[in-house]
Amino acid sequence: MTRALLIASGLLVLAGCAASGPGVPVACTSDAECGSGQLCFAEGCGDPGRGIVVEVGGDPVGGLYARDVPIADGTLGKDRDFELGGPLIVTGEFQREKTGDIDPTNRTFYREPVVVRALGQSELIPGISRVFEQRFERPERGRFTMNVGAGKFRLTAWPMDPSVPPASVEDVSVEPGMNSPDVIFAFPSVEGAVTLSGRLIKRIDATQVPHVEIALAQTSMDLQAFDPTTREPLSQRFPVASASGSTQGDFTITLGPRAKELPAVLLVASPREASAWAPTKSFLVEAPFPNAVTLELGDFGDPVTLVGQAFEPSGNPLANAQVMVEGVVAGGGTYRSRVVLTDAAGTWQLNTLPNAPGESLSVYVIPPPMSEAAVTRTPVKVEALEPDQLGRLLAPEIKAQPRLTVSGQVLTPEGEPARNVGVRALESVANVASGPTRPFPLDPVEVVTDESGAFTLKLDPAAWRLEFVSADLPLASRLVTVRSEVDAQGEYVKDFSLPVVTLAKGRSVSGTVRGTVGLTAGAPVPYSTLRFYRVTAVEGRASAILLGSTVADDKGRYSVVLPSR
Amino acid sequence: MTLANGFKLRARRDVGFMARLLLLGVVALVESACLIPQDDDVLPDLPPKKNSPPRVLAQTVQPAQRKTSVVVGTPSPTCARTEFSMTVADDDTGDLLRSQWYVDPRPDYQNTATNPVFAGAVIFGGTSVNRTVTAPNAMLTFLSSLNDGKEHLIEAWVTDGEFDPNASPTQVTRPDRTLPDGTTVPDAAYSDASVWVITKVESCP
Repeated sequence: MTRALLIASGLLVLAGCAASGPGVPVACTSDAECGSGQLCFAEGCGDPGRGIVVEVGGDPVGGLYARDVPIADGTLGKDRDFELGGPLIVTGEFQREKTGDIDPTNRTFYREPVVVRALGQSELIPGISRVFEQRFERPERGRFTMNVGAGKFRLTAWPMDPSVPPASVEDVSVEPGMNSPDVIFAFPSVEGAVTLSGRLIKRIDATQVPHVEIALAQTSMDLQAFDPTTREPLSQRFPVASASGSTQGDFTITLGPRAKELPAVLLVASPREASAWAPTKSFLVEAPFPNAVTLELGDFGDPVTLVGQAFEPSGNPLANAQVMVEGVVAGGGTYRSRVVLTDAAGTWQLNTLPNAPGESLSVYVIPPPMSEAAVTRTPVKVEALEPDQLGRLLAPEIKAQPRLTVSGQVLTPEGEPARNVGVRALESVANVASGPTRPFPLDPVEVVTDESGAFTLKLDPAAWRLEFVSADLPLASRLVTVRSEVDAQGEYVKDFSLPVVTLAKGRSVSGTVRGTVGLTAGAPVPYSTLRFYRVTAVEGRASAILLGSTVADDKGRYSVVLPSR
Repeated sequence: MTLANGFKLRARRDVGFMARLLLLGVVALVESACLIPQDDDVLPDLPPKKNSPPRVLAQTVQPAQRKTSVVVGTPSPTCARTEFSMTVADDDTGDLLRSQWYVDPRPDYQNTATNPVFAGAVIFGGTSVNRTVTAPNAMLTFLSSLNDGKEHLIEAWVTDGEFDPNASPTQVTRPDRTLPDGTTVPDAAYSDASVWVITKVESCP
């Protein structure tokens, strides 16, 4: 047990342990370890009254999207109103070149339907992504006005006509008080676009003379071109001719003029429908682009029905778990199956392509939230069936690894057990930043503390942010990294204890969110979402710590409890 | 004079005495009204307030377009997946809120391989009447399988009680409420919903 605890303490890495130096939070496990006027946050000690930025999301129907309001240090009192003003907008114009050249003086308006997607980040709160999308049916004189939130955006205009390549504009900053940027999307003329034609086939039969192209049968495929470095789309998704005949597999794809400047483009062939039995494969086509290019998916084989059974660590059948298969198939493409659910007996069945020779596919079992079982990845050999083989391939039984038990205790600021405190574990963004190890994120896990303030969570191995949510005390959070380890006896270490979490004293901040609603300036904005962040540097990297969040009422009034010392 | 005066004097004294006596009587009567013995039984505490239903605030539902295309997959700097959320108002700020997300729900709302049901995160109580409910990652993972060119339906149900996995999401329950005298009374749970039609599923590259 002692050994297990030692291993556990080594495995539970509280954030900030390695941080030191000026301006960097000091590692902490409780407020008592922090200096005067500081509290222990997930990322280390810090002053709860400094570096506060509030994300105020307004009324989406009225176009009042999220913006960031920095609060000068020490000025956040118990009353604080927020004035959002009017909607933040991006205006601009859709244009089309008249000739094959890029010439801003020789363009016409583009009045056909276009979808504009704005994808960006807050400029004041690190790690906050914002995305907005709007469709313009018949933009008069090519002009458009789009409501967005604050941030720095990459805007991409996608004409509904797939033969017109998308156009992008980078680094469009939108902030309250700034003039709305005027964005010009210039679509190329037919002559100005880069056209790439060719044929997508399954394989070339080299045993015959002359060689014979084997077409894809009964599969609808799409092709799209990307910048190989930035993965920026250079074209829309183009259908590959699927009707059987001499044109089967033919494609003509139109790329934006930027493709002329690139040494190569990446063509991605993917099945149009998830249920299709064909892989996704990328092809690098180098400049100068040939008149016709043949893209060979490879002999990825015929679909195989894979049947398996999943079990809890205890040996009981694992019901209601999601199962999916992915991996590299013959020919070098990748295949991802549909997601299926296990039945009461833990049995699952799905169709997949066979793995590439010498490779294996990964079977992911994703248990339901309250299960004892963790997400489990199992390599499975899925060999191609011989022509005379019928039926299904049986996968080995999958016994899921156990979720790890993380327990702890929550105390009130007075040191009493904190009952009925919600404990929510969220997969940490830091984990995502270091590269996803799974093709999907984990769901939050929640419990409530008992009479003694104790809680027990069942967690998958991952980096987690634990949030402690109380009705009348401020939000507290801790970072925990849980790793699956085996002890000296070869047994899984399953139980970990966290240091006691003492909730901070709270202070209430309330006020009203106002803005321009319709034609009325200064009107209360109903149901605004407010998130109070403390923005600080952690190990030299800007980081935002959520201090508290709330949603305003129908009169725009809000109240939130924030930590104080 | 003397007699008369003396009489008059006595008469005034008698009038004053009578007035004082009358006043005393009135006061005694009034006071006695306050001194009426009370029943020994203490009035019971007010019964606990009945449970208030949670309500999905239609103007807060995201995606705001109820017929919409969605982007699924792993978010990256060049691709943001579609998030589903809604603000739910519940006057009982301490209530836990739970959500269930149904993809192409069957009429009986049973969980099947092609009509799966996903449990959302529990939303803890706080100081705010309004709370935000978001879709579980498990459902967003499943949506990638729906890239089949067909329309699909998503129903999100939220309750201040508990869902029965084998029943309609309208049939939600709460534990009985305990009154101050120790007796229990049934306490109704409520649910509300939001619906989207998915027209197209795109994947992050």
